[in-house]
Amino acid sequence: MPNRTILASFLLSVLLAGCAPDSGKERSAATTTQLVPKPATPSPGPPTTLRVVIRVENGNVTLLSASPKRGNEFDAGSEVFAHRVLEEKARALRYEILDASAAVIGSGYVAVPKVAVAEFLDKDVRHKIVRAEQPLTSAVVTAAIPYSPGARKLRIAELTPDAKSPVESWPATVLTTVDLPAPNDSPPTGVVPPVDAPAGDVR
Amino acid sequence: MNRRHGGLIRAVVSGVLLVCALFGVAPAHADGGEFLGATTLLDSGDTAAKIDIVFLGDGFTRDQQDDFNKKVDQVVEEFLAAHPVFALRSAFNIHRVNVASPESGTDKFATCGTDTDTGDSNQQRQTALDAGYCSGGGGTVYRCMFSGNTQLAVDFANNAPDDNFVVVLVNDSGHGGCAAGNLSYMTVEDDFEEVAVHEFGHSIFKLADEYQYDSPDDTFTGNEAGLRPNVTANREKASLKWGDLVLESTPIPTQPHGDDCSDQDLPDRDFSEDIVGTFEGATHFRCGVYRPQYFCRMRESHRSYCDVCRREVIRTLLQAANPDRVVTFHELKIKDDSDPWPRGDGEIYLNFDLTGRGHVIKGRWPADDESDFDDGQTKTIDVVAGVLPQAAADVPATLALRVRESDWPDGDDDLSSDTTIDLPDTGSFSIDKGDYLLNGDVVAADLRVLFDVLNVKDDQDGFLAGDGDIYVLYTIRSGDAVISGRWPQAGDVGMSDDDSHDMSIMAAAVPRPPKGEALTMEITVRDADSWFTGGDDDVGSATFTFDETSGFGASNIVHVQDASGFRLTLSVLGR
Repeated sequence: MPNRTILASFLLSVLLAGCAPDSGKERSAATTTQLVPKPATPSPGPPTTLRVVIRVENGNVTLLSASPKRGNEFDAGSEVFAHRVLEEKARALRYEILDASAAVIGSGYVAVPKVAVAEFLDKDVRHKIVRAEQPLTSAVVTAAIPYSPGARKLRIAELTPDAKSPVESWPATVLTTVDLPAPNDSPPTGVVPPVDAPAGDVR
Repeated sequence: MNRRHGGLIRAVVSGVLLVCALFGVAPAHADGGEFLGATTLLDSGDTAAKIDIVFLGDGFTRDQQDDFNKKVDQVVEEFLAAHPVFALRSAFNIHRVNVASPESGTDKFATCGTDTDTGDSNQQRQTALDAGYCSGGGGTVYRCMFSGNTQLAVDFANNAPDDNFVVVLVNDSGHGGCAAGNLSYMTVEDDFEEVAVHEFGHSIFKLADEYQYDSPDDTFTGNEAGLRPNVTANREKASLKWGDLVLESTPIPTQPHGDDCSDQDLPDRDFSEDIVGTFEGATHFRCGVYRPQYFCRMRESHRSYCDVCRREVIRTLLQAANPDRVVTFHELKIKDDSDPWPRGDGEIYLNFDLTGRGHVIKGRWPADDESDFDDGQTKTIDVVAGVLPQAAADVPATLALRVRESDWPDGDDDLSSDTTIDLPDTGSFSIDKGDYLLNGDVVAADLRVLFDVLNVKDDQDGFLAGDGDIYVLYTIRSGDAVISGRWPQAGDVGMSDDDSHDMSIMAAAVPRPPKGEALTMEITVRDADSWFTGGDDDVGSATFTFDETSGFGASNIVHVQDASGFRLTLSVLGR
């Protein structure tokens, strides 16, 4: 009798297992993704940005070059921009793109960092991040600004931040105005060496 | 080069570089560095529409370029696997610029201004990008791994098609990293790839740190307007910027310090990991400012992005992501199961490779084990085989398929011959061979459904009590499109009562539902049980419905679904 009970329980369990809901093993495919490297080549198409290279050194701002490139301006947005400037973490530059008649055909803002932010892993606590800031006294940084075929000059001004007014109203001091290459003077695609380097420090 | 004694040489080199810049000559040998080549690791499309990241190496000699390449791969793998970046990786192009340094390593110093805790002795190395500790100009933070001549990195990075963000990996295993603007330097210490992904949180996604310093007077007194999307000083639930993710039952503030900020110890977590609220201590302040969840990658480098950060990541990347293509296997018919003596059901599995635009997705269905098929049997599969970037017009994506029958002891059998087909940009495909027929389709991945975090309220674990063996079955419908899936792909996940676990999967990529129709998700959470204890237990089941108003698209992305038995945080996104 006990043996029959055990056997019945076993068979019932097997039956129950057989009737158990699908565990879904056939619902998924296991996948891994690999990347296939290839030589870097410029994207086809005309330039879309000016790659602006700026030197900051001991309070001076120098525009080293502004070269056409096929890229995009991916920036922090005006809110972050203004906040960083007001926190004195960055200097505010305004650029204006001028056409042949000296009309402004585009403008925007570039934040040039005033601090270097160190972040690194704590030596004692794994995964804990440690942070420190220090003034950035010397650096060369880049920014991408929109490129227009009609652009002939680039004017750079530094803004004096004012917490009580929007960025658009901040007083501006022109630092430099530089000539830009005519569209036909620059290669039509991506990697373009700097072609226009203005004079040295501007203040 | 020693930053303190190399001023004259650097001035000369800088002058040469300026002349190079003036006359359009890319620097091939700057500060002794030798340009070896530029490689695109991830090509998602036109640089005019993508976020381009460039990796450079410093202190890697010509013979150490393989080491550098592996370090870059480590970061790229970590970043592209990060949730939810993996689902929107087509927002990025990633490039590697190989530069050989004359010497290996980096500059080190015994002291750094007032920061004397360096642990190093003086060491000078001539390297391509002139990186070193105690750099950045201030000379006050030893762990600021930077360069006194960032123009070197700027110029070498210009060899990549575009360079929205530049990361310099420095060949040293010490703790160090520093960033300014779109340029960052970091050592290749243990777990450095985690730090890199945290840094991308700042540079690309504009997120604030969610950790704090523990000094008693460290109270935030600034304005809410200046805070990034993932931190707040707001204590009012009604106006909280992530209030849509807060459950009715969650108090605000959720986990505060004492009113006088006197409790120097961090409060222990007393809410489930998946709960969104306001947890005091963020953006380097211990009091007066709050983060949305207890854990986040912006707080500890090995965690996932929290719900709010994830939403910001998605918002950022949606602008640049491609209309990817999702390849789905819908139906498999086995004409001859190749099952040998003794005759029975064949134990069938597929291996496949999806190839397109620099990606190879290697897959297996079922994820483990096999599927039993008899001769002539057809099964509806409805599994996502993979998501590929949209192929270039002249180079179609391909599917290589290998169908097998698991056999022992003489080895697995092939069903018909292995085959490779070109996939359509969109539309159905069929592979009809002597032994099998596979039908599938390629659709534009208009909507992507990500399962972010699962919370199990009662794990249903019976005899013997312990962690439940949890798995999730789901079916997602959008118009005619039906995707079924399982998490995890195989096996189960140990979860106890009120336990949360990252799911971090793209459950489906489907077309938008027809106008007036909804996207539905049928979710079943189960606890796996052995036959001995009566089979698997239901933890809970629910159907969630989304339409244009309740949330998908570029704005209302992350959703906390509080069901009976479980809670699921998910994201529905689409341009």
